[in-house]
Amino acid sequence: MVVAGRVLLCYLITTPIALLTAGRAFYSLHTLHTQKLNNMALVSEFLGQLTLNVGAAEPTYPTVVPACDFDPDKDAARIETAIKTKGVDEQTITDILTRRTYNQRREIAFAYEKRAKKDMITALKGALSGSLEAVVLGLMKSTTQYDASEIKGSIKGLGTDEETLIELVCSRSSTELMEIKKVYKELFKKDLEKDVAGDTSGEFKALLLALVETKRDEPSNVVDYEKIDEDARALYEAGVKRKGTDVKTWISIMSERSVPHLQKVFDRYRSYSPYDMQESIRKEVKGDLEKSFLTLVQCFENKQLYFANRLSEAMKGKSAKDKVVTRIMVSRCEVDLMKIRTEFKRQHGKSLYQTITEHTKGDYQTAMLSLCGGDD
Amino acid sequence: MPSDLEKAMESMIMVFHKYASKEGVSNTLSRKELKDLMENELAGFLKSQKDPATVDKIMKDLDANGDGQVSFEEFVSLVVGLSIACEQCYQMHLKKTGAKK
Repeated sequence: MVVAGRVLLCYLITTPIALLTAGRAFYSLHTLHTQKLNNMALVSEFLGQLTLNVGAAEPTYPTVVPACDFDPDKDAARIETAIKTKGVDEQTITDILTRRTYNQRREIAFAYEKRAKKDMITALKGALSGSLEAVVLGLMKSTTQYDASEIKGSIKGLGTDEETLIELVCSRSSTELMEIKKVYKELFKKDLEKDVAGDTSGEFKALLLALVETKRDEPSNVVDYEKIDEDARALYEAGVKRKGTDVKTWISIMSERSVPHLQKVFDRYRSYSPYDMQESIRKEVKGDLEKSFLTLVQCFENKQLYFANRLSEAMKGKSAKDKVVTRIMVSRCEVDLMKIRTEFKRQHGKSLYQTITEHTKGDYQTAMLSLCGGDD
Repeated sequence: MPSDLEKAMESMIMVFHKYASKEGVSNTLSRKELKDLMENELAGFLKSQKDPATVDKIMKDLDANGDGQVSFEEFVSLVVGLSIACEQCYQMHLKKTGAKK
């Protein structure tokens, strides 16, 4: 049925206290035969408590949008020529692939295989190298496949790239993680949980597993003020208030509550604790656990700012950390890179475009600037 | 003898047509007719909205195909949205009164 899938309006309840007293008065005075009247009057009560919140769907701010006048055959032909050219025409390949959406790139790959009788990705692998190759191969994966393979890359082999693992597991939403788990199994024939568990330990492992389990509540129309207060107090008592930290409580609250709920919990937290949530984390825990909690909280509060800061960190100093920059630019260009640019400029004074120009060079720079979309 | 649910569905249809037939195309709500409907049938809700542009926002959101008219199918999503929110209020209310007994 059409209706069920199209509830676009979202209503928030703002004053449950008034509701409580009115309801109790009805229930204590009336008997069963007036139950219907109670329920109808209740609805009128409830309607008076709702606030309209139109367009609750997540808006997206991509920098890469479907190209108009898209012709996959023409693009495939140009790429074929570019690969065959002596010295490989990286410029053309970059120009085309960074200005098409993932779905369009797939169509190009399909057209390429038809005319060249070869797999385009394999051909690109052979023709490109270094950071540019990583960018192009990343672009040819879907967002979920890319996330899954980046996670795999961070845990395989000897040692673990904890920073990458933390960035990916703590910034992706429950829905995204569910998709990633599925694709991870398809691509690597292993369970994401098992692999993460095998490569991490202690409370850090517990937190990552809790997130990967995707038990997070769905955002609700109802604002539960009592629970918000309970959770804020629990976080305070488990951390700043006592000696040591009850990490389990922190993990369960931060991995199970919905994001809008947690945003309000962190606000309420200020009325109990002298330090805000991020400061408290820095005081209470250290190492990978600290980084993970901080990433989580920063993403709940402002995900795009988190990515903007990550990009800025990666491009400080002389050598840009290409892997981090590539990953964020490629994975967010069709999601919210435009908003990340805004946050970047606001926080760091310089535009992302400018910063990329200063800290990268060559074909890699061209690719990053193209994905960035423009100067602010 | 119609059931409670059948009566509720009939009310929705009757209310819609009462206002939709007032002018213009008689089986869709124009912006004016929608405003009329909300002011009479959802007065409590409208009054508690601080935003004076609420009706416009709702109209824009309901008119999915952008033709300036709200069909019954488009209208019903407003009723569904409000009902879902009210039901959640009701659940919370039950929890609170149940617990306090």
